[in-house]
Amino acid sequence: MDWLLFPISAGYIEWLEKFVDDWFFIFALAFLAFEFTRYAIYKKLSWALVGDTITNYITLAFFIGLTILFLGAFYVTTFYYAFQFAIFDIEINWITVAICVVLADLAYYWEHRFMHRVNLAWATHTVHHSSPFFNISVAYRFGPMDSFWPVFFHVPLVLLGFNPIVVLFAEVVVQLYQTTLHTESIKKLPRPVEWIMNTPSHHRVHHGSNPKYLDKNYAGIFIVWDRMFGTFEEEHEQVVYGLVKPIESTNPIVAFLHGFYRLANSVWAMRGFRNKLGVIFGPPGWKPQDEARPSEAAE
Amino acid sequence: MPTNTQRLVGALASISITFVGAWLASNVHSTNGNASAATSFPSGLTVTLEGVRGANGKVIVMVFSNRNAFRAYDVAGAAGYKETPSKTGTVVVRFPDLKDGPYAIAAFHDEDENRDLNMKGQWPTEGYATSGAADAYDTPTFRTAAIVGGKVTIKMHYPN
Repeated sequence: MDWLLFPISAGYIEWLEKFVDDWFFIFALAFLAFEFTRYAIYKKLSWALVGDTITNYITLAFFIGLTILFLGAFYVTTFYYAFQFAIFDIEINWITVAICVVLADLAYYWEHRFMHRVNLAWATHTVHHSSPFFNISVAYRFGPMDSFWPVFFHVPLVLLGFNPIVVLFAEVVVQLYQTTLHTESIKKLPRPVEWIMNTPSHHRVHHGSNPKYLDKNYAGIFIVWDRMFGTFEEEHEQVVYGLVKPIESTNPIVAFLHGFYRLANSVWAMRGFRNKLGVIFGPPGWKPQDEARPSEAAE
Repeated sequence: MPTNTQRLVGALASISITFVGAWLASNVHSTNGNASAATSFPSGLTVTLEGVRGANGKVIVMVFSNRNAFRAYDVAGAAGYKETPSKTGTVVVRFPDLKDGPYAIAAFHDEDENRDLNMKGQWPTEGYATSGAADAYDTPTFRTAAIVGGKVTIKMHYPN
């Protein structure tokens, strides 16, 4: 087990990140072919499904474009700026990388919860949830600001002393683990696995628009975070995928921008400056208190 | 729906887990850590820089015996500082008075002689070198960068 403590260069981690990310994309395409075969067997193939799948990859292209043009540089600059103030000196070896993955998974839990419960962040993350289907191509359905919000939740790891490249690698590991969960082909895994790890079953719940499934199972790799922090829900009833208010479109521009369009509309329609701020920073469906509780307002 | 108490406890627990995790990681040392080996060398320290490009400007070498100064690239906190006229290929810089390590070394090719490593954002635009760095992107910890013995060879990295 000596290899666990062999020093690893940041350049190797960077190479590995690209290597894993790229090959995973190929694997995902192959898995998608399997999913389509499965859809065909269950007679669930439809033009809506085909259009939705293509839209998923078009939003991915938009997302990558924006990341290359703006957000990637912001990410790297923030991380390297923060790194000079690091509290601890953390060397790179497989043990410290593994610790970083666990901590990045915890950071991801809060980032993900934030993206669901603050409208400004939901405006971008809603894109990922706007597909009425659930297969691996949905995992590649991204919103315009999806590479912006994670910066703030992961920069503490850099400030604590993890190398920026290691933190980015850990984020990719969490993301790719979760990518594999976007499938209906796996029902339940053995109980200990379902108890500790995030699974397709838990993540189907997360994508449900059923009232009892809303804002549940934010986990990346470990479902224990949801169990600890009171946001866990078991999959019992049939999941209805997508948004509470569906976009009912496979147009990639509609899919990519509907969140910001809806946010702008709600802010515009809301009366009063404070209430407008409430819409922006409150959770989806936020209403001023007097409207939320009409009985109290009547008194 | 979680209560506010659950939210607060969850956030505090997460901060604690993250801090303890990072502290644990900082105590996991790779197997080739140098700082524990012999660090005394009576004839002083010799730094050899390889891969210097061009004879314009100077090569500035800083020797650090302290972690914070090394991290901050802080000249005031350096144990040794030397400016040497640049030449293509190899530049050798001697610090006969520096006999007690561990020392970590940072150097850069000050082409415009402004005594500063020019940066564009967070990336250097002049050549730079750090002891213990495996490649251009490596930012070794002080423990990894602190060299053993009186002679050290470091490779210069240029942005393009």
